[in-house]
Amino acid sequence: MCKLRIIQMTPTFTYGDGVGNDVMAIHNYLLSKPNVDTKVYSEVIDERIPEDVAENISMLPLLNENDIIIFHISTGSKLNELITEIPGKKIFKYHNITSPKWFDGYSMQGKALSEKGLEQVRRLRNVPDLCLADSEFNKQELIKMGYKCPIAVVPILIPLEDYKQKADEEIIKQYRDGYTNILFTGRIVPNKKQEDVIRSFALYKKYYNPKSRLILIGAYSGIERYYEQLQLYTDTIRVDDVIFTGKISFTQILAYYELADVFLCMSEHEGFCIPLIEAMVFQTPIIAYDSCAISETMGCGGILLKEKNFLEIAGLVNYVMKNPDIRENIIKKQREKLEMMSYDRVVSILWDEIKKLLQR
Amino acid sequence: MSKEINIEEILIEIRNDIEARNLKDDIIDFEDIRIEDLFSMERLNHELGYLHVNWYVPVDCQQYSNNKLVNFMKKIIWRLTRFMIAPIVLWQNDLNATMTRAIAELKNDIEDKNKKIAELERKIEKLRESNK
Repeated sequence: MCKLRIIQMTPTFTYGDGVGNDVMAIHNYLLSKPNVDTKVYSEVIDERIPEDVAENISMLPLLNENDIIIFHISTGSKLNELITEIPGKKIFKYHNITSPKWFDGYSMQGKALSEKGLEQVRRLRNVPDLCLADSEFNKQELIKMGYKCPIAVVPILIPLEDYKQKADEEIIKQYRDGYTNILFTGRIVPNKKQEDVIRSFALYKKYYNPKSRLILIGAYSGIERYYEQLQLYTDTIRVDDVIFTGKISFTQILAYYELADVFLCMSEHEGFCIPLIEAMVFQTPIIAYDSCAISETMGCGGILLKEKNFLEIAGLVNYVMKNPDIRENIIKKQREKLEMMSYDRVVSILWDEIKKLLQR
Repeated sequence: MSKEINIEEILIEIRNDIEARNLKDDIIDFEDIRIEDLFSMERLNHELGYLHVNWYVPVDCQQYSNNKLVNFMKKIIWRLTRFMIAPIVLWQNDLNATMTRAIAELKNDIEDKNKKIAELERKIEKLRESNK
């Protein structure tokens, strides 16, 4: 019997970021299917990606109408134009594109890529046979942009088993010192509003707990201006114990999650927000500002804030730290949400959608 | 199923505590921080890299649509307006190229000056040590 060919295409295949993890998880899942032949094609491939997983887009084989292409969209790219010329059944996996307004004054390149990406996504509305959105929020965005094909919500595939790896011991030794560790994970970019996390932390440290620390995990390449402004802000408001880790390894990330007492998210633009799920895995209570897809990803878990009052947020962090019952209750609810995000459940939704497409 | 958390009730309790202790959010806004005052070579290099790659805007009619009629119309409009648009784009490309070159020269000059300053500082330090 002839194998079904399902290829994935993504402009950049980065190791460890949200889209990269999703591509890798889908690839591994498809590999487990005996009747499927799969490979990833990308313009830029991270050197940490195993060679047999991905190839440069120039190596893309001749495809036919029976092949399936899962095309990941998260930014502006030349691939977004190339996709129209390739035959086959096209599935767009829409991860959302950050609005250009967030890059204003920080990165010309970021703004240009984002503008280009949104324009391309609008133009591609008649191309896919099926769209998979990470969240209902992303689905609504596609509908607003004029997409008429079937759109299913398939959350980002997160192999939760990976988080059982051994965490970096050095970091755990260094920071397990009786301090309260507040954590936020996410690229250092203006839409993630790290400044609001810093401000809430500064008030918490000043009024509630001087023995506390803020850990901000995330790369800042390409958006150095915002990173420098954050550092200057931290210096100006004279708040100590704020750690910017920059880009770190997966085992180091695991260590910070293990150390975290509260996960504080003030982001104002998220198409899904994987770190919320990661915090749930590590049973860290989440306090988050309700924006875009955050409430959807959190579900019933964690504490969701409708407005940003930094004094109240600081008070809330203190409340969660001081009330073991509330803390336990939040963690229980997060566990319930996590069950809904299980690998098996998500892959079965994904496979059902692929099967439906094949039957059409 | 775990019981519901009443966030509003918790927030009322926190608000009362804030009022009772007269806590104030006296932290300045992030927007009031002036990053313009800081110069960063890393940032300049990054922005210059972007300019080097993107200074040239191609003068052509881009046809991305699947609709042949749309592409045809685009072609017609392009042919009718090309005489007006092309010189403007070419002029802008010329300006972009000049600006990029000028900024690159400034950057090189800053780097040279920084090297000289570092060398002079080292010499001053040596002289200070020898005078001790």
